[in-house]
Amino acid sequence: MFELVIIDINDVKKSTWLRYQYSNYICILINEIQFLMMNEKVWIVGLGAMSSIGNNVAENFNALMNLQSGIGACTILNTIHQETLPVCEIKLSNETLAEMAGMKLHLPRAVYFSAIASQEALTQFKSCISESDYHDLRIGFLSGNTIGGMDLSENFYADLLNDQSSGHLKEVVHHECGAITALVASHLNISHYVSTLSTACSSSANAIIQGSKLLKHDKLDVVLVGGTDALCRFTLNGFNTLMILDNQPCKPFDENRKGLNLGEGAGYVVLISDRIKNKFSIEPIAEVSGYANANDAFHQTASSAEGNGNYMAMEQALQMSKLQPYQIDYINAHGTGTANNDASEGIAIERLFKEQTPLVSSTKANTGHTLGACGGLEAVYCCLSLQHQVVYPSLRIDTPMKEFTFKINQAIIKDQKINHVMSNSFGFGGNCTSLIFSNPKEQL
Amino acid sequence: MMNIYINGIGSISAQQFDTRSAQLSFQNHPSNRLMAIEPDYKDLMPPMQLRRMSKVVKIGIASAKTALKDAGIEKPDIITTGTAYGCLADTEVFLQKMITQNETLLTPTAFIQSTHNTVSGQIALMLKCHGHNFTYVQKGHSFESSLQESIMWLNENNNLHILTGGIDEMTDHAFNIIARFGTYKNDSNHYTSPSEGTIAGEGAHLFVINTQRNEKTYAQLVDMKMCATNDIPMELESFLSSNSLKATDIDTCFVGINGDNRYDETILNNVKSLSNCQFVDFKKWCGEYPTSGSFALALACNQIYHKKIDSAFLFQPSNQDHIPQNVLIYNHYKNNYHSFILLKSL
Repeated sequence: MFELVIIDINDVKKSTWLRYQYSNYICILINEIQFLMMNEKVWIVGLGAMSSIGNNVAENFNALMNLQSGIGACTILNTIHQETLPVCEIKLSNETLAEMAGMKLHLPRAVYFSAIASQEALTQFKSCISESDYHDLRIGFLSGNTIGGMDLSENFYADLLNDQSSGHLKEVVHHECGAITALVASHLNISHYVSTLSTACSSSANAIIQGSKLLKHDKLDVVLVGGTDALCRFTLNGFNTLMILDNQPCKPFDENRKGLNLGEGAGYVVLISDRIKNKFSIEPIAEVSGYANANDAFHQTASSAEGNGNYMAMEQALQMSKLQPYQIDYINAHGTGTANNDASEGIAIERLFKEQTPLVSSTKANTGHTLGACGGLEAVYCCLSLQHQVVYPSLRIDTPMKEFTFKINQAIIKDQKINHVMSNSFGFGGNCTSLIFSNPKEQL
Repeated sequence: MMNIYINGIGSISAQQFDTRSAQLSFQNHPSNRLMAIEPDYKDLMPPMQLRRMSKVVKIGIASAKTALKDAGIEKPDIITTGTAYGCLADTEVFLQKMITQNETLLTPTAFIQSTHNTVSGQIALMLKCHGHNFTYVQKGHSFESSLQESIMWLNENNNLHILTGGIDEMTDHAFNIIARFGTYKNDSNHYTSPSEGTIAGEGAHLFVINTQRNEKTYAQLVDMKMCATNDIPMELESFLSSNSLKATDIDTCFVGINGDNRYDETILNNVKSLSNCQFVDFKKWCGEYPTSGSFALALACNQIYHKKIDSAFLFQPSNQDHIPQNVLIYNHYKNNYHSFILLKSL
């Protein structure tokens, strides 16, 4: 006969004795539970944003609703291109940023952005639970980043080229991308899991994917995910050599678009598992209902004309969410403003959604391309779209692109039900990511 | 948990290392910087592409191709790798020109290839592999982050073939800069001298892992852990017990001591509960670098495959070869970024 024994799965995992005792049954049980966990939902319960259009989430949202953009002359970054290449710069000195972040001076700029936006997101989550409950949670930090401490390394390297023994070591000690994440993790007192993804412009979107998986696999209870990047001469000059920078404010999805404007900032969301949501009865902002990463495998920096990688990422994200194309209400496109990206992305959207193309816009017309931060920042914007039931316009479109039949959204939309939002991030190395965020009220 | 097996390895390091070979003849180089021995790339990639590639991209791709061939797989479903430094040489080329030419007359090639995910991206490009493609860059946990992701993938879908590994290059400039932090020994000292500092290394190690055991399987990858705290004895105990093992069950430990007398004693102390165990100090062969755990995994797999630990590798010299069964890799980077990988002989 059967004997029903109710045991906590966490005790089983910890206790060797329990495992021996019930080995056969538990093996089945663990596999079952593992399977159930893969299907467990992941919820967003905190948002943090910092960009050229605002130092926090509320300021960013206001700017988006007021059609503001952060594009202008470069004044803080010391480059010969200050007058010629417009950027989306956060107009705060490193001293001010250090003070806002509550951190010491002489750290890479990306650290301050990351710390400020992370703290905002984490504070929102902390308001949902008690201090002691918070301390019992397994919390991780997974951040996307592409340039690390390059803004300081550039100074160091100039000295080094004159003399191998010169240059202040403090300007190069945080050069690695992983150093940015480690510094912020330690500032936030997070140690359970700390890692960095660097897949160019999809880095922070990929952090959201992997963070979701860490929750589903029960490696963590809570994970802070997103990304950060600061403007530096290295990337500004690098993109300039590729001839994909617009010397005017960028016009994503315009027929006569000339390129992108680089930006800087950070965007983070706090993810929790279903277990934590239910245990603490937390009201989520959104659900991470689908995600996928695919590789275009076409060229190191250019997208294939058909947007194969883009298509696969969107299609697989949709499959995971079990949504039909017509159920997506808004696509926050990668939409950099380069001839190549916008054509490939638009064609991929049209191929996948056909006549049912949702509203599409690019907020990079507001923030510029923030590289390792854009997936995190745009995830925040997507959550705000669900929360406030609005869709942002793509700014500065004079002549809409003729390659595809659907229209890019050019006005603020307030009168439509927004239940499911897709966010695209495509990067060098053919790295294509699509995320889907859903209205939590739809799930009840 | 799925049973996960390591079925293919590509190894490029300071050693000539054919991972299927039963007789390894590793060289002990008296230097504070061990350089990767680059293979003949002719059979591995087209010469046109080869010319444009920096060392890290070349060793990464060559290692990937070797691993896939070793496992008898043409194209993996997932690519996930770790690199702490990324593409240092290309970064330096662009940086140097940008500074010396005062941000003028620059060309894009070095910039394009300086992106941290260049190696993973180029592997995908070469194989026309459209699958999921991640690159982790978390210092001493870069490789381990990618390995953990691989295990998660196989627990989600047991039909996948994963290509995972750790890749890092060392350049002259980077070596000199890191040396200024007191990381490396002085020229005259090498690994064996008990002094401050270690020896630099570099390498590319890629692995094909999946849930299918065959006659060419190296070892079972039982579990891994990136330590969250610096209480390593406690972390070790909980890691072993979550795998239903006691400290005395571990018979072989590949330990990440590196000749730096500031850390080695602490590191050995951290695993002193392994009382029934022979130790292998692998870093004397590959040097110290943040993704050196991938070299340890390759060496451990080779030894497990041949069911003996060569006496030349044992920390405490012995006349007898030792038979590995439950094998632990314990690595760290500067007494930080501690990690465990648990392997089982089949």
